[in-house]
Amino acid sequence: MAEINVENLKVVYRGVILALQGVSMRAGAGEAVALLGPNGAGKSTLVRAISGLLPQYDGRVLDGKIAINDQEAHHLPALKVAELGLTAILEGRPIFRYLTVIENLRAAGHKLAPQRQKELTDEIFTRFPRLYERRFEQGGYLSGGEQQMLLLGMALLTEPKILVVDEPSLGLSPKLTEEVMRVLDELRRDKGLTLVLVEQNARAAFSIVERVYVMEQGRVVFEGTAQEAQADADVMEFYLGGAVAGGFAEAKRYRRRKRWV
Amino acid sequence: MDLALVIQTALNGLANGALYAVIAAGFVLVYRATSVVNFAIAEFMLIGAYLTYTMSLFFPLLLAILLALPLAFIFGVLVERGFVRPLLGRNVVAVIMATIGLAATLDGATLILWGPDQKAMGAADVSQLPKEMPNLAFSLGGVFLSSKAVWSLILALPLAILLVVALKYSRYGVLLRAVSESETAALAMGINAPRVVAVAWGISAIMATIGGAFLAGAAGGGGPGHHLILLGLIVFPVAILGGFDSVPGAVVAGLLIGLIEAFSQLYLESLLPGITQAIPFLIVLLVLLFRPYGLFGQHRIERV
Amino acid sequence: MKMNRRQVLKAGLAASTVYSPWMIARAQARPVKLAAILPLTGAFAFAGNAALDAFRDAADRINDAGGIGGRRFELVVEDDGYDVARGTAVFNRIVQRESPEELVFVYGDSTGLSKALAPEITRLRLPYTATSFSNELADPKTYPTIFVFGPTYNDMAGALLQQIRRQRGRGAKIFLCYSNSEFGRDPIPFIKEQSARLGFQIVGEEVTPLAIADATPIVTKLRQAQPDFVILHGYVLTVEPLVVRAAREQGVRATFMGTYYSAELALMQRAGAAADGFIVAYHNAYYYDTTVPAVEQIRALRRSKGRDLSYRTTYYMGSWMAMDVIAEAMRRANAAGKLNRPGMIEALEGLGDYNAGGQVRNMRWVNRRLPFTKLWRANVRDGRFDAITDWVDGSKL
Repeated sequence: MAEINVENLKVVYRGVILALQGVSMRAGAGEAVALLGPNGAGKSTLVRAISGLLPQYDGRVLDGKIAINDQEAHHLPALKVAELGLTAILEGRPIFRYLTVIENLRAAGHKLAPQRQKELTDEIFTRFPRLYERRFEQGGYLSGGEQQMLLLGMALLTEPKILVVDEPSLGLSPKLTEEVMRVLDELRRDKGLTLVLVEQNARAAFSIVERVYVMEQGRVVFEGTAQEAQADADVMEFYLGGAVAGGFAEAKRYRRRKRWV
Repeated sequence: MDLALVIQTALNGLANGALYAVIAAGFVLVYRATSVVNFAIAEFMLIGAYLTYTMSLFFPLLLAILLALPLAFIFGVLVERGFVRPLLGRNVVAVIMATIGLAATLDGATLILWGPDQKAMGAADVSQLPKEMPNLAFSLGGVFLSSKAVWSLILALPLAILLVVALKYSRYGVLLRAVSESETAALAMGINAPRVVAVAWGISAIMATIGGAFLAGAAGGGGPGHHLILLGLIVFPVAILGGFDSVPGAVVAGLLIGLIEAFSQLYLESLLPGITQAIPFLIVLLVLLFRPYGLFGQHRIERV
Repeated sequence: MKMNRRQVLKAGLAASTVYSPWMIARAQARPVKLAAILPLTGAFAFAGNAALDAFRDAADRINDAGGIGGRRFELVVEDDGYDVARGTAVFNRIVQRESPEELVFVYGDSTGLSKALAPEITRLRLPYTATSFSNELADPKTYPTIFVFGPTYNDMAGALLQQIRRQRGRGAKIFLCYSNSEFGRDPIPFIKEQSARLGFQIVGEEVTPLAIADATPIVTKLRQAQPDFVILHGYVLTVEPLVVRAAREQGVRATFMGTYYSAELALMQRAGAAADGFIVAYHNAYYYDTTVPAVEQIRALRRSKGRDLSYRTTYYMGSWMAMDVIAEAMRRANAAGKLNRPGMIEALEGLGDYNAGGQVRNMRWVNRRLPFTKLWRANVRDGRFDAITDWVDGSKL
């Protein structure tokens, strides 16, 4: 069990573009939280910052701090963050497309003893029989849902304590999205993971998290339990894309106004 | 046609091709791992040959080659750390210009470190004769195979194949292929990408050293010297024929070009003098025109 | 002895002019310069650096003896990396920068560079020689200021053909193996023409790059052609060792022959025992031949400067010889009051029996080159080339 704390985090890209303007959030040990918000709100930047991958994107932490289990992590390189037990599944389904399913799993589990690696691989194949069927195929030829399952499997093979997942539902059908959420929930409970789920699809996220942060324009604009968020009409309407009557177009117009005033 | 001659030419072509294969495989490995086209690959051969030369002053030649390999590995890692890593993420032209600069630098460095005079393996001064590998030359039913050819076939070829197999099946091979696809994704999975990449450069330097040492001196070569750079140019046609990003492709292409050269030298050269020298580059032209991904190049996986 | 007396005389003359106050005043004002465009890097770096070594030594010797008529002798050295384009650029830079009163001689690089520069050299009326022994350069009608300080590649080949005539006579079977370069192709038409005239048979011909990975295909052809002699030309000891080694491994018994750039001990170092009996044409002295006065001069100079006394290559010896001859021409031009470009050409033309410490037979130009060479045979046991002829006129077949 592990926890993560982000305090007043400011991140810039290329030294000038301020992507996070003082974000605070936390996920306690064994807790599942969701980061919601529209495109460009800074969710993925937060994921990159947490996982130590900002330098890969020419970004850096300007101010604030990240702590994983009370250890300062905002200046740690990605490999050190990984050693602390945090694994991030980045946006865009970053499997290794030219590696077969098995090779993808081997790459992810490279630090494990062979015996442990085999156990976990077997476990993954039991959870996802479809992956077993396609184990000798290159990752690039899997369907979106299969790729997402593979990524979860790979993440498992790193034996994480904290799992950060960026946009797992992207491009998936509602049915598959539901399936992915169910698996995530299952995994987190089985393994006792701390889960940070980044989503645009708020409705999908609500079903498996305890607390919710809503971000916009590099700031956290709402913080509360999943129930509170769902009960808050503003949140639902203005940030989470017209989940109430009135529709998307209206919500968008309102939002634009609100921003410019 | 004389069958013995054909067999002999084929074996010799394969033996030379094995050296091309080894060097090109290392070159492609680096390209796979870092997307850097190492224009200094011929200088890697040169450095490897000179390291072997230095070792050969103290040890028998075969041992000298083996002892030069770890030094070559360190050299490759140092080049990656000191020279390539700081440039990663820059635009492609900048990196290419940098490796061309590296080539010139290494060229000059060998002149400074080892001096310009003509050398022979194992001979510290002009009064000494060269050291040689144990003579494995043999003649069987009219087929003659030189000692160098035998050594190439039993040492260089297995090494090239070993690299292919290791890349496909070993843990490191899987990690290298993972890193070659996306360093960021690899880092996110806790893969020590910088180390994997450095090792790729080290291995590439080892492969170049084997090739360079053999071409320079194992059995009567021209010694370590600038001519190796001319010989090293063969890497580019071999790599392109092989698909540029495929190590197995480089190995097959190396053997193929070795064979083609040998037969061209035998049958075409008297008709068209100079053709053998041109053939690898003609092949490149054809490949680029008709099959830009070469023999084994990765077909892009395009999925939406 | 006769030569020595002459040299003493010259030295005396030079010394007497040194002490003339007018001369000293001029020396401070104007050095006399030789520009050398050398392949200090690249495929010929071994030769270029040896030449530089020799030039520096020779320049020290000249200046230790008071310079040229009291004027300080200066070297202008630039690297061309054995590249014609770079060499051309370097040449243009040098002739633009240096004043014609000071720069009276240019020592250039390769056959390719020299051919490229020849028209400009002629236009500038600039005394010139090069590391190249190309036949085309030895042509006073077209290039009146270019000198070849030795036999041309044709002359070297001619000397080898004379040896073939002595050893085998009519019907001798010759195999030609040469590099696909200006350098490599230079004497080939001459060899073919003369062979036909002398009743030799060219039984095979192989054109290769300057560097090869493997000599087996060549040797396969040698086995088929069964030549008595194999002439290798246009290489720098990168191909010859492979060929002789592979040939001996496969039982080819032919006599191997080569020209100036094959005449270095590295041949034996690289080819080992297989090099034994390899015949080369070489027209200067070997450093180990202490009976040659030039060798003694070199050793004395290097000893006095505390420089390494170990073996100097043929490229060193040739460059030392060229500098010795050029310095002598400068002294004579100076004595005639014409230490300038036209004066240098006159002086060089009139050197006559000067023999550069025994490193040339004489300085009687025949079409602006010195056609005499000696033939030598590789003796692997002693690690030396043994002279098998006295001076041979390679142009007389």
